[in-house]
Amino acid sequence: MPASVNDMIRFEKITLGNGLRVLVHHDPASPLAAVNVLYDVGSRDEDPGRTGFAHLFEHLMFGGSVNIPSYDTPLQKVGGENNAFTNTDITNYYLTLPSNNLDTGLWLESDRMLELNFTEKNLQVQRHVVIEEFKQRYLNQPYGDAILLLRPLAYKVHPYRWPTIGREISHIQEAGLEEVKEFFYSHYAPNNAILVLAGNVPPDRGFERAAHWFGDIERRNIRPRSLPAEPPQESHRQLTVHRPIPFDALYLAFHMPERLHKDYHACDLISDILSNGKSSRLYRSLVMEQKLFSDINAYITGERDPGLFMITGKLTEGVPVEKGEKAIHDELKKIREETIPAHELAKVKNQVEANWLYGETDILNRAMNLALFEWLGDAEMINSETEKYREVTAEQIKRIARDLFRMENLSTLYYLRQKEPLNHETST
Amino acid sequence: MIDRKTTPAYGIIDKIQFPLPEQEILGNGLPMHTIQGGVHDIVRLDYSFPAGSRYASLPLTALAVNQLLQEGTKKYHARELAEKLDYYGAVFKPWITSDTAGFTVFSLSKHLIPVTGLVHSMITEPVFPEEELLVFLQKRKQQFLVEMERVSYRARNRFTEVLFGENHPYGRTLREDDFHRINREVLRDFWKKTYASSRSWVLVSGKPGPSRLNEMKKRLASLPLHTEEDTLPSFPDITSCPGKRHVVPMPRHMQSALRIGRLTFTRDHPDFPAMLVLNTILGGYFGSRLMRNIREEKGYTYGIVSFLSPLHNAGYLTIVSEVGAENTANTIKEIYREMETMQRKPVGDEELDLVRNYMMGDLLRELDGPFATAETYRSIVDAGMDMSHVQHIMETIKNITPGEIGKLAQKYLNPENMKEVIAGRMGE
Repeated sequence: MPASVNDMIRFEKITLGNGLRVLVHHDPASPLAAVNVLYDVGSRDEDPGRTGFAHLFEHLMFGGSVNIPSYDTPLQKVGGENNAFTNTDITNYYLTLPSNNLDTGLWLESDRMLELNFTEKNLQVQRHVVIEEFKQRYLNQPYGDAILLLRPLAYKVHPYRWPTIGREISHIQEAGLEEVKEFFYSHYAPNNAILVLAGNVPPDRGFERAAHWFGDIERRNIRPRSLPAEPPQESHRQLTVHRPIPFDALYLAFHMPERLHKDYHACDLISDILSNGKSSRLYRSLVMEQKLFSDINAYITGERDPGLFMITGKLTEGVPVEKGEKAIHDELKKIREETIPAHELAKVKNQVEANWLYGETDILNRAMNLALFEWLGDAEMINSETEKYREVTAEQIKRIARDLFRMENLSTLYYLRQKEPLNHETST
Repeated sequence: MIDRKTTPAYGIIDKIQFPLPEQEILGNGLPMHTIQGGVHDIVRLDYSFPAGSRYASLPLTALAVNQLLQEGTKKYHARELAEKLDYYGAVFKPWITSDTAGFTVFSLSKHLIPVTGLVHSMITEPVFPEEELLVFLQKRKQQFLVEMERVSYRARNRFTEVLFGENHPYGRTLREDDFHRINREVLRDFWKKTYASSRSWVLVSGKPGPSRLNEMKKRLASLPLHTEEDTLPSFPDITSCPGKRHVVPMPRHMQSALRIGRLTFTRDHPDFPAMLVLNTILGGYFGSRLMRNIREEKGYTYGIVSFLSPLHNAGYLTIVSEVGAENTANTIKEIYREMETMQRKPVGDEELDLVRNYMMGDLLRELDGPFATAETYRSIVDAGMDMSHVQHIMETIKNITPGEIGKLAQKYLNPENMKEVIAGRMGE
């Protein structure tokens, strides 16, 4: 249970006749309303020859819908702000506006669920925008393509082997209007979405307005999902690349259980033990004491299907990559073999609980979390999430660490400096 | 059938209710601001000192002091500080600008007093241990060299150099040899002058509860502050670098980072509120003219924005984008075209109404709850102003006319007065 009744997130839920799930979380203290629409489609649902589609499609959702030529303008006009993100599993659209203008948000979201109306010109422009995004975030940044290299190393079969931005620019360049439309009708539908309203919206009013705007959208046939499971990895994988960067870097990716697995929270806590805060093990030992890394991080990708437990670090100048690698493995050995002290385990649990509370002050954040837990199976899980971290035991941590941190479960990327002058060395 | 063609009726935000900060000057002269409220038992603390980079004679000093306060005090070793803060689930975030530096702390209310004890030990008795300093310098130097490979970082640095002059405290940027000039003495000196200054202030927001708030007050009132007038260096004249276009060649990069802009003014300048409106229209939101033209129409970039940076003794307007190298020249041309349009043609009523509503909605978001209000309020206190400034901004948003905006554009958006920085390449 949460620390106090105050910390519970209360909500009510109905399902409309067309299958749309609607959740309302009433917080009268805020003058705002948040509207979050989650679609159960991500880059894992893409065709291997057409990667980056789910995300490109997210861009097109702003290009106008059947009755409304522009999405953004009417929203800005009523004081609203919006955005969206796509990941491997979901596409999530969200907005906040003054709560008395809730109807405008619902009008816009329902119309683009009903039917899109973008043109060849929209598609052409958004292809360019996404390609510039691809460059700005991955190709034109030092270390930016590491994640593009790691995924296909760690996954051989499952669609997590390509990143959400796409495997390569050409897939985006070649996207045609017809196939993009086809993507809409096979994934965008009330029966494949979750709508959450949060803020100054009483449940009765929220449900009534949601039914008004979304109730007459027809169900659609969603393309059935049958994703190939990634077979257990049988031996250590290693890749070395050279890039024009100033310092060598190291990336480790271990396969870990799926989001709803009973060991998921323990894996997350292990990543906290290793790298959450300045007292964490990798930071203390490898950065401050042994001075092998200038920067080190451990995190989980947190995906619905089995995801990755990642450790990434930049080596201190002059330290051989093998030496840094060995030091990481030494730390992982400690977690596998020694029982974590009670005080340290309590510490990482306190951090999780406190950070959870800090995040909850924001209504948009609450709306997104409700949608996410509903998508995982039941929004009520939002109120037992911190408890799941509380329940993790020292024994469980040791057992899971043994299972995770095996060489045959690991993909390692050496991302090394290419021996040619860098920008700051060639110019003044 | 419901009517989906017509925009639903909407309301305009006329007034915004926000928690009004209380202010009190404590016995030692320290101003303490309080914004109480919220649902959860959590507190945010903002400490601000006149310890920004402009006050140090060597560029890295102010940052190093700001970061190293948490790396050991007379009472606690660095490791102990980190352990305790993490155990309490506290978040300690140092921040620094050209003018001020300090930290933002999040804590559970129940741990507020011990957390404050740790923070006050950092402020009053830091030791700047040699070993932690060396690690800091090594880490930062590596980060710096990685940043030097980013077009965005290079453009940002060059732009402030160009606007203020390379030796001006607002204009100078880090160089590799700065990392060899810092030592403990330099840090101690700077700390003594700035972190006990009578120009410091503290903002407490959230739900500390009455008895803890009282205890906080006592603790804050016992912080030793200089009683005499501060002897901080005065503000030297600004001499911008001659020449309009400044190129940082980074020939290997596929995108160029652009910065275009000019010197403007401080937050208390009479044109400031109106300039906020002008800036929003030009490049301050997703529907801005620059965004619509250069992203949504031409597809040259993933994003383009403009913003005002009010400092204590100056200010500037910047337009920022990363664009495909082949589109660099065209983007610059389009930016100037948009400026000229704003000078020549009055803003239409429809666009202006939209911007008014959007900006009021934005203020509503910025003032939603004690923590968001604290974030907004911080920059206002920092400029030596109070919440009547927000009132003034709201009045301007509601009442400004197209004629006033046009005059402002003629005054501040002359393309010939703009400085340009391009990091990357101009394209073929």
